[in-house]
Amino acid sequence: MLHPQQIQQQQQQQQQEQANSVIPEHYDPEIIMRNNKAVTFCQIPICILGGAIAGVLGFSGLFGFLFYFFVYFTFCSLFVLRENKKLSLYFINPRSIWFDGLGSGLMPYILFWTFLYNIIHIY
Amino acid sequence: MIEQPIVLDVAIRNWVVIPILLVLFVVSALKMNFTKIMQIQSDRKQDLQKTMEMQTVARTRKLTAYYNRIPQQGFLMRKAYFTNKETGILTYNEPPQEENNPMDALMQASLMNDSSGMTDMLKGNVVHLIPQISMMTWVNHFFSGFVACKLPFFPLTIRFKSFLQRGIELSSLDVSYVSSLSWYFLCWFGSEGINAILLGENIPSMDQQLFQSQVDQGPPNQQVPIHKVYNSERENIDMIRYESLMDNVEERFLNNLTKKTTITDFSKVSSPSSSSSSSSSVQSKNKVPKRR
Repeated sequence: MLHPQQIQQQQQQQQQEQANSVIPEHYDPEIIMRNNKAVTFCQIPICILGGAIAGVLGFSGLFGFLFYFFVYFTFCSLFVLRENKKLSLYFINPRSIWFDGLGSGLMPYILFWTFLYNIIHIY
Repeated sequence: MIEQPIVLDVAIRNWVVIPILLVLFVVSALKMNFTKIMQIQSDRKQDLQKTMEMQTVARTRKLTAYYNRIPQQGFLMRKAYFTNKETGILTYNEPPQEENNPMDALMQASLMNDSSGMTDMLKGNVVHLIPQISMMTWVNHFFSGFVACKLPFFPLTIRFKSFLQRGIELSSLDVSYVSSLSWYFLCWFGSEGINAILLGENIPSMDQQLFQSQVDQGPPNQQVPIHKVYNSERENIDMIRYESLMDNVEERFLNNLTKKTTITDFSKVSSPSSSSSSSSSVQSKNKVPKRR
């Protein structure tokens, strides 16, 4: 049998431990969205530029896609290098910038790649 | 196997490939402006009463979310302000609505709101659908029957041939040569990203964002009668058991300090390391307010 006061104390201790272990962090979703938007705002022109370069140089087949990944990851690494330690202040998960824009950048890349490839090498 | 390159006519480039790209861009720009105009027009209908109700709901939600960041007295005062049985804000609106025929008022309100919501939905759908359909028929009608461009990436399988080469009945043609309709699809998907940058507001300032968020909250709340929302919010506030986040913050802070210093002491026993660790922990503490 336990004394009710003891139980209360135990509960309080547990609560304190929980409070000690977990410090909830406060994120403002609008600001996080703005930050993500700023990153994609940089990524898409880079992808367009990469597509234009690939089209002018006349890459075709698998090599063009490899060039896309090269351009994308070069940009991401440059971005991470520039913002170095501050990155965790602005994003919940700093690694997500490596993968989030990969899909959204691909279609503009392909568009400009085919466009310039056709204009220069086909016609 | 060496493919023989097919030379396409320059007129195809000038009159098919580039116009499709331009027209898609212009149409998407028009679409965006059109939706903006529609939004502004629909905003004018909101009256003062409704915006006030929206604001109070937003405030109560903020209180339920961040109650543990304000002192207890402040929380209790806010609770009294919202949920007092006689003068609370959230109980204020109920009696007048119930007095004068609640069912009729509710029915009318719901009908009005539903119809306006439906028309908004319809407008949005129409704005998005009609240009797509009309442009697809335009491209398909005018520019079918010849090769428009060549995809630089690896040829897809033969199965896609009937889709990519619409209107071209050449069985020996390589699959990477495609007709204008697939170029249209390529432009469509590719231009979404470009539109987001060129046409979307670049990076909206805080005020605009606040305004937009308020506007976005509008439609779902309108459909539910307001006093139900108030009731649920009041229950939410009543349910809260107050616990401050700052209860033993100094202990936690010191705990963190001692942990870090012990770790650093194990690695290298020196006084500057402890000071640096303390500064780093101060930084980690400061993180939270910066994000607000």
